[in-house]
Amino acid sequence: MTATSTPAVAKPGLFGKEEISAVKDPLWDNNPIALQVLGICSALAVTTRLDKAIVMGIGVTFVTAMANVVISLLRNFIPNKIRIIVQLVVVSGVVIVFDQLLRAYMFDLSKQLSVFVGLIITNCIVMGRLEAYAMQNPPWRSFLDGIGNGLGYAWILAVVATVREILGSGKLFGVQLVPQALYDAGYTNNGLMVLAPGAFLLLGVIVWVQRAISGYVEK
Amino acid sequence: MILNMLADEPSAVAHYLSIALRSIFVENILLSFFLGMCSYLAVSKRVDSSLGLGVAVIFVLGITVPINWVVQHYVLDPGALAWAGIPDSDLSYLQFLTFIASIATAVQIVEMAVDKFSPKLYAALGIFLPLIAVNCAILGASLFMVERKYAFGEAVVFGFGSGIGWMLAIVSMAAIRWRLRTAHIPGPLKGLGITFITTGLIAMAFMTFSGI
Amino acid sequence: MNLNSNSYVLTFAVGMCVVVSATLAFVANNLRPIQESAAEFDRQKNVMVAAGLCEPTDARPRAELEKLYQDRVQEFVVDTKDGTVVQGKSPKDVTELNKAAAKADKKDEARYRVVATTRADGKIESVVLPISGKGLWSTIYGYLALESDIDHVRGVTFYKHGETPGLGGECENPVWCATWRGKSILDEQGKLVGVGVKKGHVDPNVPAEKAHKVDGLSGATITSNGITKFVLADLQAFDTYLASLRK
Repeated sequence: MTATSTPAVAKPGLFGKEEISAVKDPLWDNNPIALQVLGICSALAVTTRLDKAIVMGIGVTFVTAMANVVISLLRNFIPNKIRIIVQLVVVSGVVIVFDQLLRAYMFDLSKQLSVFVGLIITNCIVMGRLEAYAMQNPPWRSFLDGIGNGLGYAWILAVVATVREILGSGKLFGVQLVPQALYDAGYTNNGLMVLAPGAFLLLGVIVWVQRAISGYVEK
Repeated sequence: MILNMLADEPSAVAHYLSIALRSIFVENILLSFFLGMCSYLAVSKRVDSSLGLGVAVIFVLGITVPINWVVQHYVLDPGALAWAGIPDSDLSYLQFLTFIASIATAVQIVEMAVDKFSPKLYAALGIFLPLIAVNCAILGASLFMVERKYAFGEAVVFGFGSGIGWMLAIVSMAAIRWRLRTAHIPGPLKGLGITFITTGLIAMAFMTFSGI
Repeated sequence: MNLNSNSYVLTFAVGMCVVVSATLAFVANNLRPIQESAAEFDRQKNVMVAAGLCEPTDARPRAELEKLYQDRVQEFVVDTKDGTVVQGKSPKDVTELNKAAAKADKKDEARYRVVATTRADGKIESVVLPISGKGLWSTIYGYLALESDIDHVRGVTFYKHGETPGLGGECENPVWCATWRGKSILDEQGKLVGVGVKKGHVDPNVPAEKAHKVDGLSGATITSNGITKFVLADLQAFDTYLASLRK
């Protein structure tokens, strides 16, 4: 295969039909968590607080988009034999940059996210998109695909985190939300929500609701 | 109250035992840190393949955690390269990259070695080994090992313990899912949804271990 | 060009390694000073949280908190062996001092420790001591602030630990830390008894409990016992120094 055999991409403008669906599909119809079953690993551990979940969502979006662009630019030069390793190296590189930025500018959150920033590397969403999309598509569209999948992941994280933080510690963004009067009346925070099982149950329910609405049924 | 006694009598055996108990039950790498979920969800449909993957994970974790311990302490840490005559080095920012590379290499070598020396074992484990390189439980365990500042012996125990914990979780899930096939579950809840909820219940059961 | 020839694969791999490591080295080296100052600010903030000068989730901008630290907090090195302040050494030197001390005697590896005082209107308002020790799984790090009478607790914070979230991990909960306030580390004879974490709830009718104990962390007896133990041990280490302050 020679480089010239790849047809120059016809550009119907920056936001043609392909581009829009690259962003929109993963948000609902083809959501990476609910339907593609990817990237669950880190989805749950960071959702005890909304701010952690949002930073993690931004991280995954950043990494997916950037790695998609790099791989897409290199797609005609990457030897097939070492394809996976090249992808891993690019992803690790982007994650390290994100981690270093986080340590410099959001020290508090980087401490709390601890090892989970590094685990973006093995987040299947990132590798999955590189292999399935960026290897075949031009940079701009790959970039949008990365953004779309990152956001599709981020919003589920945000929903899980909102519920867990409000029910588990009565707060949102670390600000007390449940009034003291309610505690005086005998209300207590649901400790289960902060712990791991709460996250599993909640995600199960969210997947259920999402699939009930979108009408997807697993065989 | 076993651990209470252990804490009062900090002999070496008790200390290692407490790390093993912690990594297998109380802080199960899958059930309380959600690591290795992807392959867990994909493979837990059948008991025999779960068992195969579980053994492979124990194997790889038991090898890569100590390897990465050595890498961290003799290459990456600030000043770790003193033995090579570069005392001012600080390569800790390359941690993710070197860990994932050493994991991929270790998996590859293990795969080749198993293929060469025990074709039977290879037939059973072979298809699972490549899957493992991108299993976040493997990278996660190495990162936890660094964060918790384990010594070498502790790292070995922790690696094996995490693997055993992971296997326990996936095998029990596979057994439950096998039974669930005949259960009446609402359509949209089938598959992923019910698996999560069941995992939540297993996680709750494992949490009771934190009382010991 | 043949994308699958061995020489191409090799060139590509080497080229990629060089480019990636150069980029990462550049990024890491440029960000390092910012990261170090962020870590230092985090430490300063923890000292101030213990001394009650700010909240763990303080909304004030960083510059303001840093100014508050500069205005109100002094840090210096204390030799726990004779309880004196080491002159001419800054907190940065403490690792070196301890290394030298440990060489002479292995037991002295934590002989020098950094102590902070906060002042208001020129008078000492509180003394902040670093505390650390084993919980159930991990080493717990924190600061304990004493009132100017060097007896009552002004505040406490545990900023780093690896205890079970929701159980022992609750030691970082500000609500629980607030219950330490006003507890006394000396008994009626002036002997050091420390502040302990009780299993269960403190009985307000027993004077000794009311003065020296806080409620236990539910479901985390070993973490609680660990905290009791290392708080006392660290207070004992500082005993000579604290006694000199009381005079």
